Amino acid sequence: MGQEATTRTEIPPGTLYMLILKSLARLGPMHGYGIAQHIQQFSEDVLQVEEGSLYPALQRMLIKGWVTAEWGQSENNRRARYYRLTPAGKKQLTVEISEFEKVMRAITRVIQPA
Amino acid sequence: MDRIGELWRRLLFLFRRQQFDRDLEEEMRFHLDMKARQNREAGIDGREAWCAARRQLGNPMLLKEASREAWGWSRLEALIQDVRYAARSFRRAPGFTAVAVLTLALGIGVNTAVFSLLHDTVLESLPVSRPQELVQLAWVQGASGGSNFNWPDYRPLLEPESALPGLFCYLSRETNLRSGSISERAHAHLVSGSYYSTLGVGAFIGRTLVAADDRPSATPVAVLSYTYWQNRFARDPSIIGRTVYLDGSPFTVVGVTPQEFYGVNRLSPPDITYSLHAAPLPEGNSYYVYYFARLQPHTSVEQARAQITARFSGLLEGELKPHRNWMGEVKLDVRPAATGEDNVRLLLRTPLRVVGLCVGVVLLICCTNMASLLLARAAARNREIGIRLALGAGRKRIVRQLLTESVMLGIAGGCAGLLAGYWVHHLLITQLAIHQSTAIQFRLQLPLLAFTAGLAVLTGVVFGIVPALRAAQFGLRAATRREPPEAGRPRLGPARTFLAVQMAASVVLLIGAILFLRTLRNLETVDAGFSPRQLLLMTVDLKESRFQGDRVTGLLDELMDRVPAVPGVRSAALARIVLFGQSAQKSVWVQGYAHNDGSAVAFNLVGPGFFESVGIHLVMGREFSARDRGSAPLVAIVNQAFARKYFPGQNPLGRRFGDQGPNSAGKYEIIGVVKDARYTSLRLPPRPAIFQSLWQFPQYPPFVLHVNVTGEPGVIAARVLREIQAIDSHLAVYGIRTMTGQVNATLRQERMFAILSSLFGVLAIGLCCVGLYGVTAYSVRRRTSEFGIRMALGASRANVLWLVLRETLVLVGLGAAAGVPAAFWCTRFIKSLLFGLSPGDPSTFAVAVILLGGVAAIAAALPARRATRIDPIEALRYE
Repeated sequence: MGQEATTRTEIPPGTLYMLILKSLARLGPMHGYGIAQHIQQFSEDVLQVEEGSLYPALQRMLIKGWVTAEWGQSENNRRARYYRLTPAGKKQLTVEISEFEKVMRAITRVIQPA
Repeated sequence: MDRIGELWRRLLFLFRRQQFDRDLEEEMRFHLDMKARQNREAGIDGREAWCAARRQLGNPMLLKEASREAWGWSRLEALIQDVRYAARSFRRAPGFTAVAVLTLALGIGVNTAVFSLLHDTVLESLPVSRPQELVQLAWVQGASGGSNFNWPDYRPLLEPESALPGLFCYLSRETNLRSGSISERAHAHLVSGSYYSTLGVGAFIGRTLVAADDRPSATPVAVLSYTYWQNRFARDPSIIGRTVYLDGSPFTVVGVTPQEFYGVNRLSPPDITYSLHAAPLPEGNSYYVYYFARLQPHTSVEQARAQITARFSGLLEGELKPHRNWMGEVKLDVRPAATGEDNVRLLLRTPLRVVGLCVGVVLLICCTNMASLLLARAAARNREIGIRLALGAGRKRIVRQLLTESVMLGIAGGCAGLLAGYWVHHLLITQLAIHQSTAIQFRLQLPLLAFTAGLAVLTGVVFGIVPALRAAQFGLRAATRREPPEAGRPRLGPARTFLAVQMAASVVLLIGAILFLRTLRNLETVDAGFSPRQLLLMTVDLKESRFQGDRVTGLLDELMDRVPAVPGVRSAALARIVLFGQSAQKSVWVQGYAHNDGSAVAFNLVGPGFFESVGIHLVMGREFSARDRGSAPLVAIVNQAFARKYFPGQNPLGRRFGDQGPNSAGKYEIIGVVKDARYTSLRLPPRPAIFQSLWQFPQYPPFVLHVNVTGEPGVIAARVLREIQAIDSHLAVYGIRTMTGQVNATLRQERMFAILSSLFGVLAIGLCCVGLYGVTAYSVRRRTSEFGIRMALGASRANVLWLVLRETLVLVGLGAAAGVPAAFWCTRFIKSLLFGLSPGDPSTFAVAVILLGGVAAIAAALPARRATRIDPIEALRYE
């Protein structure tokens, strides 16, 4: 366990927002590191979020009004920025999930044997 | 709704930038620490844990930039950054910036001026309501046509049942205006009843003319233009109701037109308008009117044409039947007239085209010059760009930044260009003899500003793109090592290509300049057939004097008595038409000529001694004398061209001709033949002309006094004026000028072309020299070691000099090779403007190329001489 994974499975394009929104829905207000950890753990290490895409994504979600941010205290009394889901974000989450499921069903139909 | 929220948040971001950066910084640090802690828990210890975390995080700068970019202002921020950077670098190089902005100001300025002129004279619609509905009537007869109609011959077209409702016509003439202390010539338009109503123009104060005013029985009223009211009456509102005297007849001023209205002809806006039928027109002149109408809704131009043609055919059977013999061939046409009278466009089309081409070439030269300057500057900044590239700046970013610099220069040049344009516009107007009026002004309005802005940005991009691309390309290489010495024959890099383009453009301009200069010289030295020197002209009008009707000849006699007696006057004579000022023609039928078709010849009424005063040689017979008057037999003098045409190989003296149809062929007897002369234009060869005795036809004033003087014309003019006033103080004398001035005035356009093209030519060569000097100096510096080696190996100074000059001559050769065919193609278009030489005149082309070569050699010689003074040892040590 002393080695870092040198390859990371890419998050499928267009699903990052959905994953972050769902994490926030499940976790409640959480900082960026926490969100990344949650996604990694919940997916059993399959999906690992790059910081380089996480924070810009969070910024864009801030712009769109899906999340709000405020400074708070972390578990170990460090100052951290917590993101919270907004009602608009909740709505966006349901939209994205239904879209995703629609696409997944379609793909499954195509690759079904026979 | 979300969009608004989004926009609001984005805007807020602009104000919270620094806070944002700090927040992000802290957030990254937190993330890093958490990651490091995770690594420590996983077994990696101490410093390594933190480094591993750091590696995982990736490039923090990139992360920050990506986060910032999400807010969408990055483009704008980058632009602002580039602009500030560019401003700083311009401040550090004031000399370069000044030269660049000046060059651009010149190139953009002349283009702005020409555009303004073009827009005002050709493109802009008339300031009336719905100008796109306006149409103009025109006539076509065989191969010729025009938009001027004889008046009053075509009057029936105006009748109320006219096929084109709202049809109006106007006539333009000069009139004597007298009001209070003002007594001067004013430019008047005589308009028919529906002029103002069709144009849809209301009055600024008072009222405009209506159909009821256009009757002989109506009270004579007049409307002033705003400009005239402003200049002459100081915008006095009490002008309404005041009486002014036009050619002696009283008119009441009833209104003033709005400031932006200038009639339908931009080039001759009227000072005053009055009704066509209100006052009788002086006899003896031919008058022309122009017809305009407004298309009815749902009527097309074709339909209008059909309507008016049908009406005209009807009239030819009715009111116009007496004129059917010559009107029968005429066809009427209807043309869109949103921009006003056709003549304007036709008159100015060629001059504006030529000037437009010249300024286009000037702009090209300016751009290539700028490109060369920027290339040299970029070469000096290679290290800086290389470092930036090494630090991670994208190549696109560098190019964008350099382009921002050049566009900024372009914009600065554009602003300065507006100033230069104002001055050039003024120059063009005076040279083109366009009347400065509200119609044609250098106005800083939207079309002009948009054009200038567009041109500024476009030139910025055009001359900046190549240096920018090259700089980004070579920057990285240059930052890492010193530039290698340039050995052997230098390749034709972009700087030299630009220079060759400049040379080609200069060749074109030079050829144009020489062609125009030679045309002017040819015109000035052509034999006009008379002697304009020492000839004074004065127009005498006797409308308000005591000499009316039968007593006019009395005035003529008195003038011929007293004027030659004035000290300083060698001789004097009277004529009706002044050479090179007016023209008149008549149809003649010659007795004994087989093909009499009533063709027209030039015509003048002259008094005794005319030909001697004016310097036209009398070939045979005699001049008019005091006896050729009243009831004496009608006589005439003809010129050689007339004699050649109608009496080839025979003696014209004693032969007869007439001017009122084939049956009048015996009316006049020819008593003299004079040498051919050019009567209206130096370009046109002499045409057949007849002269009749003024004393036999004294009923067509005004008369022009031709005074042959010795000494100062101004002083003698004053004396003559006093003599005339002594005869009768109500005699109006105006238009005092010299014949030389009169003739020169007709050369105005040629002179303008010569001046402007020479200016452009000199400008082009000047810019070329600057560019050539820079490029050669740079090249010499680069090849210092090479020259040193050559000289150490035994090359003489002359050899080295030749090496440098050879480059220059190659460039000139390339420029000539491209420029000569281009010039050949361009000069085709100015064929009609030349005189005495063809557009492909070989000697002109040769002179232009040699001139350019010579000047280029001198420009390159200075740095070349520096090359010869290189000390070989120093050169080798330099490397």
